[in-house]
Amino acid sequence: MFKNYLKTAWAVFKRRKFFTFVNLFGIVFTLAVLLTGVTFLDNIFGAIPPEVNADRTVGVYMVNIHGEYEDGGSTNSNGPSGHWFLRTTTTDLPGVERVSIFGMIGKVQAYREDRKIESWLKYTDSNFFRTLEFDFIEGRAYTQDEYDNADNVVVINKTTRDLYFNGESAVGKTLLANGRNYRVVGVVKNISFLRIVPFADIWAPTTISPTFDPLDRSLMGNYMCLIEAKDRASIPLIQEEYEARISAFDMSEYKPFTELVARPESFFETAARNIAGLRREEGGAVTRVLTIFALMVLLFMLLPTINLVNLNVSRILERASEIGVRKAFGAPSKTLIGQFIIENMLLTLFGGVLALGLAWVLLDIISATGLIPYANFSLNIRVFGYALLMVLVFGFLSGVYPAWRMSKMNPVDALQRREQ
Amino acid sequence: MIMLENVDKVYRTARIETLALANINLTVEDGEFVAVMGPSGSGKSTLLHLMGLLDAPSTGSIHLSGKEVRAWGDRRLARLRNESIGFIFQSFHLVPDLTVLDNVEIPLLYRKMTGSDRRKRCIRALEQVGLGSRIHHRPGQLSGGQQQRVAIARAIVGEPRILLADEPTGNLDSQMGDEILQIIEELNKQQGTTVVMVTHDPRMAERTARTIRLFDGRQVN
Amino acid sequence: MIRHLLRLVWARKRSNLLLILEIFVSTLVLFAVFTMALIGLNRLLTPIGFNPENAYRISIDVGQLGDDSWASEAIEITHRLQQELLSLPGVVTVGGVYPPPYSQMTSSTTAQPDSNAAEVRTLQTYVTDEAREALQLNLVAGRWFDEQDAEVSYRPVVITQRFADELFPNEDPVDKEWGSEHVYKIIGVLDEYRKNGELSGLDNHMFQRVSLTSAKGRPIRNFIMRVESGTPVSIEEMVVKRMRAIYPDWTYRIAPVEADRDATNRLNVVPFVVVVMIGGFLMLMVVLGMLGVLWQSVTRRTDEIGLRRALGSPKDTVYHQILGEITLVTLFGCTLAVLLLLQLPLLGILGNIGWQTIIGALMLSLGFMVILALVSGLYPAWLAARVQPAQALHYE
Repeated sequence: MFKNYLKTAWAVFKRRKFFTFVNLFGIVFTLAVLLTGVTFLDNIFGAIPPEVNADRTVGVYMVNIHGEYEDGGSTNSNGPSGHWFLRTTTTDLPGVERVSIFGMIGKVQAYREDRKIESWLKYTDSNFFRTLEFDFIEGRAYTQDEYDNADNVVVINKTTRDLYFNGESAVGKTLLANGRNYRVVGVVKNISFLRIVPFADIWAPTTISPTFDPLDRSLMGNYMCLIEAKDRASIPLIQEEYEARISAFDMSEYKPFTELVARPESFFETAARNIAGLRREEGGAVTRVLTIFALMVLLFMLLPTINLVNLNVSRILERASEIGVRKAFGAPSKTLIGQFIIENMLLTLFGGVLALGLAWVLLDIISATGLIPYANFSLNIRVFGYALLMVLVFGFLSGVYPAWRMSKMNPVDALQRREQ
Repeated sequence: MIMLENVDKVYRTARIETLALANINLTVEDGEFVAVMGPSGSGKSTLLHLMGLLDAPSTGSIHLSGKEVRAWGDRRLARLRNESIGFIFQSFHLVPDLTVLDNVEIPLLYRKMTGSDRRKRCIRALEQVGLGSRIHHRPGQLSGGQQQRVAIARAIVGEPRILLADEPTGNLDSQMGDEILQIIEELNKQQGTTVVMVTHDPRMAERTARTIRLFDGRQVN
Repeated sequence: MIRHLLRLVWARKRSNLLLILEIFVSTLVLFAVFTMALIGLNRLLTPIGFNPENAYRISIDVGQLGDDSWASEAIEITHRLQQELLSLPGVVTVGGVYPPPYSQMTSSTTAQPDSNAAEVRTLQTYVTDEAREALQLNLVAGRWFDEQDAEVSYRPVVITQRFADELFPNEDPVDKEWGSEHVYKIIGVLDEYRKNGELSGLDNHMFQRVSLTSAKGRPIRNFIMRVESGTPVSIEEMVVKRMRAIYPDWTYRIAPVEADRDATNRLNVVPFVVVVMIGGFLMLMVVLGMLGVLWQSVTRRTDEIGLRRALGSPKDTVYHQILGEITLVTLFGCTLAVLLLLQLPLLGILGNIGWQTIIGALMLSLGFMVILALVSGLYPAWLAARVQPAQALHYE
């Protein structure tokens, strides 16, 4: 039975090449755009190396402070936090493997043979290189000792090595940037700009930052932290304990600010909370953002779906005679619906394969524009899974109505239409 | 046995009601070979469609082998059509994308049967109509008479007790028409298949045992 | 003939329904694309009000994010830095500008010309007196900041013509004041200033004066340095070296304003390019899809068309009839879309997009949709015109 479906489907596709082409064009284009978008998001939020422990890592990426003035106005501040604050609130949390505190990227400049080199510098601790597993081309990460001693050491990425050292081995050599001399201890592969937590061109110990003051008690600042749990199960415990610490935090020295929100969570949760405009995690941010995203996807798919439905209806009208015959010889409606949906799914599936290829090309083009430094999009298994899901939904959506029309078709009318 | 009692068929469009059949009462016994004659628009095809359960009467009832089919759902009707009735159309209605063999196979697809069984029966049916050597051709590669023989093979492959033919020779020249009619006659005589054949050719009608005449949707005997 | 076509289209409304739906949604998509395109075009055609050529942006990073304190020590250092830069060869002038053009930072405020009026939003920039020359701003009324603004009780401001028109329509804005706690007084009007450049929105803008000799106003973390044309790029390195020599604890960066412009525009153009490209592909898909549907419908109607031919309809009448039907169906779908879209400005959903843009985009999407429909109908109509009368009679 199924084999017969395939045979019919193949014969139909082959005979009406134009229809098949137009169908495929719509399917491929729609899915390729969606795939590109999903890959993009996956490359921002997905667990991609060096974030290999993402499933048991949470972070305090942003804190929010809120206060009210006596005359009725209110003030609100949202953003990265201070080093002292993150350090003191994360000490001795239960179930934690290690904590890493790192700064926001900043630009540094250097001049080399009349050429300006601009790089992104990120100050981190040594744990940063253990929670995240960077791919070292040569050398190593800086050690806890080097961090404590405020040694002028840096880890650089491959592009920086190319720019400063013409691609030759850099470990042990001196790098001059922002008027300071740094000793290179390691070189890692480029990290895409979209990987907000690990991305930089140059990584240096926070202790050598000229503006680093370990005793600065500001709540808002330039730092984020990663908390790597021993295992997934510990994360709720960590969150609970951290929340308890935050609610016990003494805000008396931060007038007029009285409320503090800080929560260890995934980067996506932080982003979702920001997009949804919620100050605290009220349980709905992630769902809300995902719903909005799903609605946008459906909206985009609306026109291609209508187009495909329209074409499919035409296609079944053309095959009225065949449908009439099948009905006359006792095909139940359900079987006919199944036949058509399978046919449509097959075409969509084939389109999906082509779309994967096209998305790959599109992402290559986006990378080539240089808008995103070191963009390195990977179409991984997970994205392939999303793709398959999208293909099935699309194939199903665009097949249901025509199939229903097909089954409702009066066999007498169908037979009286002339065949082509 | 096919029995129609007080059957009316009315076609309604937004403005006009057309009475296609009025007060039809007739019985076709098992093994009979009946012709239905009448001028264009007299309701011949409608009658055939009603007998074949492709369409439901506006009023009245249809019995097939003693069973009232009026209240039956789509699934049950489809099954009954599949098992008991074979159709032959004036314009063949072969699926152009499929080979002769695949076309003949269609009625068997809706039964529980293995692929090799289906194949065997299809080839047997095709041999019966003298097309055993052309099973891999497309309908477009065959002559009109050959196409109609494929359609007959498709109609009989499920071994139905009833064969409904709507002007089976209408699109063919007289020699080919004779051949087709011969095949149908043989089916009727040798296997006892009930045949109802719509035709407007008196020569064809003469060769049947009984003729039902329609005029303006009414039976005239 | 038109009435005949109307009746035909009406009679086939069920089979035309999907086509109408497709045209309806397509018109909505076209409207979105054209609105974007018109907004972009309007932005491109509006001057930016300053000159990014032969200018450098210098940024000072004091290492404390969000720190707005403007301590006297910091002011004094900043002043020394400015004086040092002014002494460099090839430098025309150096003005403090915060936030600088093409930067991610924005500062905004609202103004209320009188207590009954609505609040008007504006972007603002804090500048030193040299900024006018550094940015080459065009004054159209009043004067720019100078020393006489140092010891006044009000806050002197220079605003753009657009902001002035909104605050005090049909009045001479110079010397007008607003505000109660802080009184702002307009001392001059600029023809235009669009901080984020060519592709940014058409926002109001206001300049406030900062002096590097007093503790008033906001901290200056950026300079715009204008140089003589032909100044070698090596000046960049010299600037950073000299500044570092004066105060090594801060971090200094320099970049040509044109480089900032290119980076900003490259980002700002992305939404336009994405929308236009996706819109274009969607439309190509729609044209091909409609071609398929119309082709199919013509083949299905061979009998009817053959009959028309048999009854004496000439070829081009058939051709025009098919195209006419398509146009009618298209206009029907478009009308539905226009009716829906006209609700948007009434409901205030489109915000501050001007009426002209909306009407323009509506006309363009309507016209374009009809053209697309006709393009997709050409081949089917030609096929229809080729139908021979005999083909219809051949059948029953």
